[in-house]
Amino acid sequence: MSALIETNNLIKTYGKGEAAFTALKGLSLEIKEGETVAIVGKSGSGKSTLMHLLALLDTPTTGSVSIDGKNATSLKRRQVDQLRNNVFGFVFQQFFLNANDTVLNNVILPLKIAGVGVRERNKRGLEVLRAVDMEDKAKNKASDLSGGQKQRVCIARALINEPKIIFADEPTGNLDSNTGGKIEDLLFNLNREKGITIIFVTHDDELAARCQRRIYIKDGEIEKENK
Amino acid sequence: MNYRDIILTANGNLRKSKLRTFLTISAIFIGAFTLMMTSGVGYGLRSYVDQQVAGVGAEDALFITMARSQENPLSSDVKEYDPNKKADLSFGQLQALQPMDLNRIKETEHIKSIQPMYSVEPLYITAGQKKYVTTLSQALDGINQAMLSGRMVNEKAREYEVTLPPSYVNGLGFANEQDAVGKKVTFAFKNATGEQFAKDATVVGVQQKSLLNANAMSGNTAFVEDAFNKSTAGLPTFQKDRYLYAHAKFDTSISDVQLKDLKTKLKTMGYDAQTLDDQLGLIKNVINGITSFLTIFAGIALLAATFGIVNTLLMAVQERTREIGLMKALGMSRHKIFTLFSIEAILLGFWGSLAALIAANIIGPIANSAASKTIFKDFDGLHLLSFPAVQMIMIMLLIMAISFIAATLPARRASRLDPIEALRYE
Ligand SMILES: Nc1ncnc2c1ncn2[C@@H]1O[C@H](COP(=O)(O)OP(=O)(O)OP(=O)(O)O)[C@@H](O)[C@H]1O
Ligand SMILES: [Mg+2]
Repeated sequence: MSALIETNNLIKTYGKGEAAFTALKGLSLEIKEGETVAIVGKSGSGKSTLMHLLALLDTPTTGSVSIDGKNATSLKRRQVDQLRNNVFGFVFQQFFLNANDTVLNNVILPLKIAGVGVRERNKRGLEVLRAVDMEDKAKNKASDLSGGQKQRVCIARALINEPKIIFADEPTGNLDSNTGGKIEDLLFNLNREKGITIIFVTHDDELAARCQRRIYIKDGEIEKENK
Repeated sequence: MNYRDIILTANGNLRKSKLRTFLTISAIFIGAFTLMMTSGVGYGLRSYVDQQVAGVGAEDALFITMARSQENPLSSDVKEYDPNKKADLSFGQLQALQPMDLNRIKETEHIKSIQPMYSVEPLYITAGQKKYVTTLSQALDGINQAMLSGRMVNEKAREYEVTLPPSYVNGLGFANEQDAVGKKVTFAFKNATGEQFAKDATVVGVQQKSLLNANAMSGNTAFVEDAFNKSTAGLPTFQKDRYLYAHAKFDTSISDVQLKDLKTKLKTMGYDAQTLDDQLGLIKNVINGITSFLTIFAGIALLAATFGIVNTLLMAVQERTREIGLMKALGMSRHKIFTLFSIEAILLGFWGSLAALIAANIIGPIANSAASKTIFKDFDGLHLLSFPAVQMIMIMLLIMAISFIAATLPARRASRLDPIEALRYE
């Protein structure tokens, strides 16, 4: 299998001068199509930073990220937008839901951006909400939800565009083990049935253990990798 | 995002911060409303003047007087007597035209005919009952006049004919404008020796009030000329044959340049010649002056509104930083984000100018009827405020365009937000 995502000596430095802080210190890794990968590490080790770079949400200070063999810096802005919108699915650590909008409207946002018609996107929105067991809250305001419910809405939003790659930053961090397990089952099923590549960021050893591969990060460097 | 969604989203965003939206729209409203009123007044007045002129005809008319003397009336220079200089017979400041002048003018190239305007001063007019002071002017061949009833006087007729301004109808004892037509009226004059004499004329119509004849009777040439001859009977000819105005007709096939040359030529001969358009030029200049003055105010109001729009959108971008970041993270293009905020501004402009349009169309007719009952009572057919659709649409488009320009700075800022930084924004 060819590398779907490949990084070469990624360095990410935040800030300038005195306040400069290097969160990633030269990371090279490969993720193959259809893999499930866990990025594991202590808080502040640079996991989210890495995920944002892999997902082309941010640009490295030096080094490169390649998607499907193409260097991201050579991609046109429109192509990056297309990737984010059609190919990637994101579960953000801090959810990032529009608090004043309904659950359904939050979930269908990627389709709205893609220009899908109202009826079609609402139909698919309800489908993914059903998959995460949140269909009955479709009309509620996002701000009315509990933490775990918000997390499930985020996962629904990540699934709605039927992505090829899912980036999930602590997707089950706020869920009890029962609900968390169900969500994990859902994601691993997608991996198995549709060959979707999933990159998890997690503290949870059990979740990490279910993945095909684990990358341990410490202070912005790969500490170890195992299969 | 498709355009329908962008517009709906933009409108939804405006609705989310109602007070701010309302205040911004109010500012736009004030600017748009002022501009619409200004353009309404300008259009109303101009079309009134045009309509007055259009009805008049007389494209071939030149109104001729002696050229105004350039001498300073306060000058204390003493001049030597010149026996060749013609007698200085004047109407106030203005010298009188004499038969030799008429002949000279008539001989000028492109002038087809010339007719003196007789000035007569009736003592009064009556229809048998009360006597009223009045002025009588000579109707001009080829000049149309709007009538409330009856017809214009016939220039060629030998019978004596007059038309009345509407204000005399009741006083003279006629039931209404129609009733006056066909009735006899009597004018009284004084001759050179101070004796009174009376002349009858038939009322053939009641004229509509207009810019060109404020409140004067209009008589046909036969009548006015005869009254003039009788009034001046016994005067030596040099005192008799003197006219303030002459009405010349020129060849209408000549070009504008030739017409201008003709006027210059007459000027060098010592005459002022004006077409009807020239005479109305002054009025138009005044109207243009007033409207440009008002437009400046409208412009200032709009400028203030523009800053309001910029401010509102900057605040909106600030407030929605996270939301913008999320949309970008989910693949919305810079271009679409820019469009989203531009549309918000254009919608602000749209709603503000639409409200102004509605207000103008409510207030316009009220102001019109108030104005035509008071200050513009004597101007029949004047609509102080006119809001022609094309102009109003142009103003709306202009304001939406201004809103769009105002949006470029905030919209650009929004479109360039870095998604991750925007998402971190608290
Ligand atoms: N925008 C930023 N400016 C400055 N420093 C930053 C910025 N973003 C992250 N950092 C720093 O980079 C380091 C890595 O942050 P990151 O968010 O990747 O950690 P993480 O591994 O995801 O931690 P957690 O498990 O708590 O989410 C941290 O020390 C953090 O303070
Ligand atoms: Mg993190």
